[in-house]
Amino acid sequence: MGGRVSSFMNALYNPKRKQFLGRDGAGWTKLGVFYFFFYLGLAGFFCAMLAVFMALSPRDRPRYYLEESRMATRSNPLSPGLGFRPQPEADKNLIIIDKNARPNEPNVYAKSLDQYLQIFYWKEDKVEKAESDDEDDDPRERPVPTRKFIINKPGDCTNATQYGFAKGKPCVLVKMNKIVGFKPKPGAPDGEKKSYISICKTNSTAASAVYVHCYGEYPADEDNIGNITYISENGRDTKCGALETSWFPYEGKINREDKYQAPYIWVQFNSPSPNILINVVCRVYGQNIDFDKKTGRAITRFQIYVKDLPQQATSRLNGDI
Amino acid sequence: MFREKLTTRKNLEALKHEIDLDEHKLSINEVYRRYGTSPAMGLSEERASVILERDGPNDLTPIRRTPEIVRLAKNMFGGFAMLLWIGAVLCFIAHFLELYTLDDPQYDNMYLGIALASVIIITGFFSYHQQAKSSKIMESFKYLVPQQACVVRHGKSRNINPDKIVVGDIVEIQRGNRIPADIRIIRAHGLKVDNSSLTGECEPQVRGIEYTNDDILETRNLAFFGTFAVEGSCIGVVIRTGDKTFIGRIANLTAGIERGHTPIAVEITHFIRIITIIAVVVGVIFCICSLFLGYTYVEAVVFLISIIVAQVPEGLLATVTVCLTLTAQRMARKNCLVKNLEAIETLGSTTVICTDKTGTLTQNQMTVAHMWFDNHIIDSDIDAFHTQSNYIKYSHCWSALARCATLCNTATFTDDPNNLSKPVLQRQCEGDASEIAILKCMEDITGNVSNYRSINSKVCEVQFSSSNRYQLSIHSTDDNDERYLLVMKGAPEKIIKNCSTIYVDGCEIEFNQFWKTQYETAFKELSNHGERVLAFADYRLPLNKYPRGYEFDCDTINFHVNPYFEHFNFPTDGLRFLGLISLIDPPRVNVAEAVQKCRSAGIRLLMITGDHPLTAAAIARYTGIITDQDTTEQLIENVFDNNARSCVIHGSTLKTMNSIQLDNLIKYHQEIVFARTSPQQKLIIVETCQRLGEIVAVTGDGVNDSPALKKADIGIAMGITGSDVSKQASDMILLDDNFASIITGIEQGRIIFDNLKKSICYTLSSKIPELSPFLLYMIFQIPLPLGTIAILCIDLGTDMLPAISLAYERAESDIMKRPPRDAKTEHLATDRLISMSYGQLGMIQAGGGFFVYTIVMAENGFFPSRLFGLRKSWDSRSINDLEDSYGQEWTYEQRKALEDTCHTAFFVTVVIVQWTVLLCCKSRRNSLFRQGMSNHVLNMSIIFETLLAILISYTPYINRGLMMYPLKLHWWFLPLPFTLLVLIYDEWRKWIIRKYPGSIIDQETSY
Repeated sequence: MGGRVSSFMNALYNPKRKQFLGRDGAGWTKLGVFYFFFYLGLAGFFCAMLAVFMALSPRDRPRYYLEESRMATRSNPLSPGLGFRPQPEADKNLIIIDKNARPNEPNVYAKSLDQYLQIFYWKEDKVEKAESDDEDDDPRERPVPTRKFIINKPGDCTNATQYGFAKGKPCVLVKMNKIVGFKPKPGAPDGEKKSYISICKTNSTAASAVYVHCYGEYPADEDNIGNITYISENGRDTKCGALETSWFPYEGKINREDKYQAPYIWVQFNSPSPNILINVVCRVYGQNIDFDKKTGRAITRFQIYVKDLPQQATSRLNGDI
Repeated sequence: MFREKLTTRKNLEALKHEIDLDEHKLSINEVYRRYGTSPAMGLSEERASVILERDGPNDLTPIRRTPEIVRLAKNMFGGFAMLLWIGAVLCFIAHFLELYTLDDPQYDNMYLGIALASVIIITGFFSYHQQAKSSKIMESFKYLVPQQACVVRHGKSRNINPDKIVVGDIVEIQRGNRIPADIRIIRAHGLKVDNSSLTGECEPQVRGIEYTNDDILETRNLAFFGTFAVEGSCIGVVIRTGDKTFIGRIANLTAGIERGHTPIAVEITHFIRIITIIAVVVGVIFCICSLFLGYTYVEAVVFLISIIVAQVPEGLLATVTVCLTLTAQRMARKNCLVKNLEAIETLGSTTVICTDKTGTLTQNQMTVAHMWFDNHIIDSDIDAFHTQSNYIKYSHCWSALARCATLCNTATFTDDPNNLSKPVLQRQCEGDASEIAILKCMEDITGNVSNYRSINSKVCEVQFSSSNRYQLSIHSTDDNDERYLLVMKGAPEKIIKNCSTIYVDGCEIEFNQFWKTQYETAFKELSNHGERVLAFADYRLPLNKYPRGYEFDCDTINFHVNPYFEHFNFPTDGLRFLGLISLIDPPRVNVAEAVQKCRSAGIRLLMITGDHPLTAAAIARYTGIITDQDTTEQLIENVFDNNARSCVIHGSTLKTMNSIQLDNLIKYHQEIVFARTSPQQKLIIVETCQRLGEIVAVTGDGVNDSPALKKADIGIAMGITGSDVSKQASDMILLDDNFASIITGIEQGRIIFDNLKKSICYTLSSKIPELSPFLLYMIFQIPLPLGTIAILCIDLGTDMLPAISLAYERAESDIMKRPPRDAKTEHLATDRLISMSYGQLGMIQAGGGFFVYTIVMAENGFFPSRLFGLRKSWDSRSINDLEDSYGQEWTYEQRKALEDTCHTAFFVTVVIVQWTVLLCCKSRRNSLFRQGMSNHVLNMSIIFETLLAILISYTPYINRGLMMYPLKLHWWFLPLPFTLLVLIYDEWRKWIIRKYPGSIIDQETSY
């Protein structure tokens, strides 16, 4: 056994011949030089190939989009998902509302929403004049001029009230995924018309928008979720939120810059049960929007947890106020 | 069983010594006393059963067969399989770590573990099945046991089962019987035994009651278990039974010998060590990196395990097994049956072949080699004969010699029309080996022997016996000569005494000193050829003294008690000397050529035989084993001259040598013939060679060879003449008993070694494109470019057939013209092979893979810049709206579909770049254009792997199951620049190697 260890150590470093792993210094240097040039050449080749490709790739919209891209596969029809904000951490979808936090205390969720709105919705409300810079662009292929998306009556869902978080009535931003060239059709997929009408009946006549509805994922969540107010571009509703189809389709970037502002709605939870985790699912209805709960088509999913201190502590705090 | 094994171990050294037996020296009465028996009464039944109880039954303890389950386990847990098992276990550990620590565990490690385990189990069963198949062929050589043996018990002779025989039994043996135990002969009548399985002497040996030699194999009064009584009959007293018999001891010695690892097993261990060191080093480096990058300890451990396991070549075990199996099948078609797969390669690295003479180099059939008459030596090779036929036709002397040889011969062709219609040389005959040889020769030259005999009818004959050493018969001839003709044949020195004249050129002249000298010269020359010389003489009996109808008294001598009786009622001297006929067991047709090939392949040949030094040396000269022109006497003296190239050594000299002398003997003499060696000495010779670092192949057929066969690195037994024990002990069986078949074996062994190297280089080259995606995923946090399932698809799917097809690759240069590989320096997997395969071919492949990955991502919206650091969001189920470089948002499901598409594209890229990697691996030095594309299996395998990739990518359900997606057509063409790069780079590399041998490229990249 000792012989084996020593022979192994000898193979690792042979002091007699000054060899490390069977090679002396000169050997390793030679090898290093060889590989230096070899990898230099290989890296050069790789970069050259990549540069050629990148030079050829389109600038503002991907080479493949809609059904051409991997967004649609044989088993999965093209269907946008929904997204929600705030989501400060990439691998969590939990929103915690601390009812007892002081109103002007910084809130990570409000900050996250601030950031999000700042990044995507700061742009001026005017038609882009960029065409003149670029003569090669065919005006017919120009995307719909960017407009500024504004919700007229946001209610609590503003920075001022920390988007309702301070009041314990959090507003969650829900939006539909941007997909180049995708225009949702109002209505509902075949076979779901009835349930759609029963859910969003107040808006069933308005054919200019697709509707978003949020609900508790499980029966228990339904019990705890309480009232929801949907604040859309053009009004408030208790059944569904509306995304006007006139905002669609998304036409990609303009000169590699984001100009487009995607429509969104505020989903305000007016009376979520405290101290219990609520699984919320928001779903968008549209004739050409396929729904699948398991794979996340047409939905987004998040959790709400309203932290409320026990009774006596609450009363003490209330007393302070 | 354990006890048995222990005792075997203890006795092994004892068994190596010669058998201790003195019954042949004792007087027969002492023997009776010792065993409490008497020739007339035999043993009593009661006593026999007591002895049977004490000694056990009279049969050999069957060679302990390894239980099937152990053999299966050996296949499942040996060498390579063990590496894979460790990999599999690590996979499961990593999986459980993930399962208990991560919220969203991946099942990749579990799949990998299961795949590894199944590979081992399937391959294990496969090689087990292969082994079982060859051992099934073995079973067809059933051991022959005498059905009944005739013993005297209670004064009555009766047939009993031979395993009931005990020491002291009196046995009666008839012609054709197998001797049922070691016996001391009490009474014999013309007994001859075939000892070939013990000593390798092909001629039946005369046995009688005389004690003639101290050596138990040579003395006349012993006959041994397992040998045949080919002629005559005898009665003997049993002195040894069962495992104590001569054969039993050898069989036990054989069973007790344990052998070291085969060279290929050593190579595989070496390979595993290299792979393990690299895997662990890389794993630890990246594990530490991952800790610096902020991963948790658990994640780091999972990475460590994943990286180590990713470098386990899953497919290689199966590839090696299949390559060896294919070669074994190819060899079986060329009459080499391989029992042990690993032995194939051993033959390729063999440096010394110790060959038996009888039956391997020679035909084991006595044949007339030369004749001496008219003062000429004539080659009796049939072709040579016909060219001299005119001369022969008119030679009186030849016709007299032929007449004598035809008449003074008791051998006959087996009387069966079917047999008689065969060519002469293949006919079955009855009689003594040398008589048969003469009979065949005469039949071939003069024609119808039996007719000639019937018209020259025999009046009287004196049979050959070991004591008178001649044979004579008296015939009435058909040549209108009324006189009777006396013909005589026998040992030359015996015949010459009885001759007074010699027949030369048709004249009968006085046999004076001149002619005696002439005869002496001829005799010496012939016996120096190792030939057995018989002299022939005849005599016309004067008509007046011996008229027709004269009563010749031959019975007196034939049945006389005194074998030295010489007083006949007719003269046996004053004969006319006719000539000499010499006989030899000639070498097989292709042997000389095969020996030459061995020599040019750098393999030394040692002949080890139980035969006489003269005969052995002669055959060695014929076959080219000894190229020295010195006389045999000189060769024998060469033993102690370290400058001599060749030598012949007698067993008795060998016995006196110590191990240092033996080492020197084998070290300094290139060409050695060991004559008169015992089985134990054979074993010692093999051990000495191995001690000197040689890889030894031993060929043999007899029981006496089996210890050496077992000890050798590769034992080669003879399929037709080989004894069962020798076949059991060997690794390979020559089904046609032809030494030349060994050459095929060596060639195949060398090719497979080269081709395994190529296979390994090819298989390992895909390890880098499999491992690097994971490393980049870990370090740069890009979405995983290649998944575990895709890796398994490469290793166990598309890579398998091409790797195997390299086994069909023809040799690059004339591999039979280069010396055997040096086991110390030339390895299967060298650092340069790894460097070439991992560092160069693998990296180009990985480059191609990442290129295609990047493009597939970019064309769907994710630019390379977006990919860095994206991993966490990409893999998060909570994010359903991940934004790409064009502002599109992707759900988790959509991203994963894209990721799997990337895996597919990466996989396809590896397949496509492997096309040219395979072409590059075809040769190690030659340009592809010189090597050619004639390996159609390889060509087909390229098409096959591509079709398989298409199938995996496009077939519904299959692709879902393997998490693959259909690719766009043009993605298939993206790898082509890298495919070409491999080809161009490798051709350039080989060109440099050929053009500038010893340059840095040659030093660093030729494997």
